[in-house]
Amino acid sequence: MIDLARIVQETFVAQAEHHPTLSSTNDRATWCASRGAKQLPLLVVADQQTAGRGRGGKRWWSAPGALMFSLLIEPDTVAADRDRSPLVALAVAVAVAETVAPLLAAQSPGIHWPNDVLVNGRKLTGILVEVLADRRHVIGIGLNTNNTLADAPAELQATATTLRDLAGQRFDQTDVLVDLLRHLADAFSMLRDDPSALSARANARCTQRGQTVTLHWGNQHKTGVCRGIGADGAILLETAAGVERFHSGTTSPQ
Amino acid sequence: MNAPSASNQDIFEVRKIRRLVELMKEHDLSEIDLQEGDVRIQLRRACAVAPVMVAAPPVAAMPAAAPAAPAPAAAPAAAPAAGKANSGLVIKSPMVGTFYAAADPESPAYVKIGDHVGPETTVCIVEAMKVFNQIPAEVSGKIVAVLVENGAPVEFGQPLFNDAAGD
Repeated sequence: MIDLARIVQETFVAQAEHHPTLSSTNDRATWCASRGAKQLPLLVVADQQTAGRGRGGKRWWSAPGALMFSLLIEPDTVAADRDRSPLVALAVAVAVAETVAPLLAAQSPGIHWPNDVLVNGRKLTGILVEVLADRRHVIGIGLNTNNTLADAPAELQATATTLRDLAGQRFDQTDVLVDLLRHLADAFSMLRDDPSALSARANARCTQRGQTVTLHWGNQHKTGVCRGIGADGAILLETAAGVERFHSGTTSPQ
Repeated sequence: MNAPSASNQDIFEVRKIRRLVELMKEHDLSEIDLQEGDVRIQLRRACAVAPVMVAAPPVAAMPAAAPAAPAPAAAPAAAPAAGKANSGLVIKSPMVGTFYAAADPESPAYVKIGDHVGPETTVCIVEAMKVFNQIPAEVSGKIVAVLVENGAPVEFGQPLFNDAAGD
């Protein structure tokens, strides 16, 4: 059970809601925003999602023990002018990686640009950041915590992982959530004060460096060797034309 | 719903319901369930996703909102140096990224030719680094042309839609 009182006391969250079942925590947070939610950050946690959203219409795998939540925040929490908003997803990835690293004795979490956190090449978390018309941000995070691959659909067996499967133990969800929220507060603070320091942290954990990756955006793609994450958060791909920077798209290994 | 006792309340309820329905469509909600005092409104919209009841009362949730209309979203400020991004007959991209006409591939486009928009109407998504930005029209008018393809990269200031003021 998630201890909401502890979360409000120990983290930057001002209000919290818990639901046994929701269609989507991002949708609920968006709805709260449309209703004029004032005390932010607002946290929405669900035990189960029936229509959890990933990017591009994909569904997020919902299973008991998974930590699924959304945060509604004011734009100035992340100093979100149009230039900096793109770095928010990267900030969340850094926060998740830094939260799970001490929980895993044997393995190290890595970042795939811009916001995938993987362990052993398998996806541990999903992050979906949606910016509303009034610039408030809805940050959706799904962290595979106490759920297990044994219960996962066939198509995820080779690509997903969970903390429970990696560490061989269950974790207290409130502990993990409090820790993650603290790391998020730190990452947002860094984003406000020194965005290049945030990019540097992401770069240090980027496991795509030196690998051939393909960047997809819309109907287009580009393949090159990843040279890391630049100070402005762009992914650097070396192609025949030299090192190019990209701010949009998703990466896949070649 | 309780039967309104005066004709003023009648109009109020209809407007309220209309606004709620608009919000449901705008945010693609299948169901809302609101309570104010002893008045309760439940609206369910037919859609592909099965509506899910919120089973537990939220703990330490938002205070019971008094006004029926949602707090108006502040119009986003364009970079001061650049001035207002949109004016008159063109809606321009306020940022660099990838243009998407809809919230996701399974959803209908935010706007199509012939739709009327207001300054706060979301007209598209521009995505950068996996952050999906809902872009408001910033003008009123009718969409008369869509200038970019779904999935195309866009630059700051690039025209996205033509709109005709008034109608």
